[in-house]
Amino acid sequence: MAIEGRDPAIPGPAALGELADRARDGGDVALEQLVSVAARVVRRWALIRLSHTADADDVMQEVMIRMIRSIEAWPTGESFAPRLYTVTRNAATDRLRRRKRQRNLGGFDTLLDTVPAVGGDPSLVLARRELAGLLETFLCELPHRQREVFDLIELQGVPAKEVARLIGIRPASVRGSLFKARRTLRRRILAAWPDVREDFP
Amino acid sequence: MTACPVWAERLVVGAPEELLGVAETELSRHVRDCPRCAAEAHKITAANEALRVAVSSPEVDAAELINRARRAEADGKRMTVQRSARAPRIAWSAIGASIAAAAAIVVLLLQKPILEPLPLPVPPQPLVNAADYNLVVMPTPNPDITILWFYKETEE
Repeated sequence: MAIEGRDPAIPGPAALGELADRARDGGDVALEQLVSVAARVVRRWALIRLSHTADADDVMQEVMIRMIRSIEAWPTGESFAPRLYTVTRNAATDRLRRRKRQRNLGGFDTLLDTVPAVGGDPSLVLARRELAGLLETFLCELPHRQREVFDLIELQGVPAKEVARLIGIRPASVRGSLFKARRTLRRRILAAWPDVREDFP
Repeated sequence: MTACPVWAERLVVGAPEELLGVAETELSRHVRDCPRCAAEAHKITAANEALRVAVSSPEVDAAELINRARRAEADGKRMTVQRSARAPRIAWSAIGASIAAAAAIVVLLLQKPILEPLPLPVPPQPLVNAADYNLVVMPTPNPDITILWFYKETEE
């Protein structure tokens, strides 16, 4: 099980800054490289904040188009990722406000389908999907700050100091949020799914 | 299967490396040695992995996004040019405000009551008939007060 270390598909804030600098100096290839990486990062931030895949896709497109149009004016180096995070957070907050007015959707809607099926045994597949549903519910019920800190550190492997810089809070607050998120989430997981080990051989 | 009571609370806040038993910490060593806690730790790491899969983002067509951004930019510029080439807009809001202000002034003027002419002042009358009196004027320390003393001399 590959839990340790940073998720290789998602670069850290420093790597994003380097990509942005290259895109600013280079041509379309560098920009395309930045967009393909930044879009995934932004979508994930938005998804964790909104708990809704369609809204996360909209926010990702909105932020990417804004970034591409004004890449020259964006901060360089290590300041790039915090700016990208702030723009994403604001766009997601706007979306959340609009969503509250328009319709009341709670929780992840289609994430259940993204959990891959393993093996040919239908009961195993069903158990895995059921687990995914529970996990999503538990994650959704965390306060959004805890949720995003948990995702960044626990699931993506970003160091706490980088997370503090990225989201603009003190490292001690990051550690506090992570501690609370782990405790809440894991207690619920262990209480609700005592036989999870058998479902994940 | 549940974790050892002593370690249960530490399991729920431990780092992923500790739960995998690969770190050099007390908890990690215990997870390596205790099958019950190892099973609980495995549930947590398995749940993390499932969550990681669930929230992972798919590949994005970067070229398409860049094209869309450039089209949007071009559309924006065209709109700006079109707007600047048009005849200047009439500022209806400013005109409306001016008309409203003028109407308010007219209404105020019409409602103002016409002032009645003041009555002609009454010709001054002597307070006292002082023809037979002597007058002594006595100033006081207060400059606003002056004493006028009228007196009449008698034969006695």
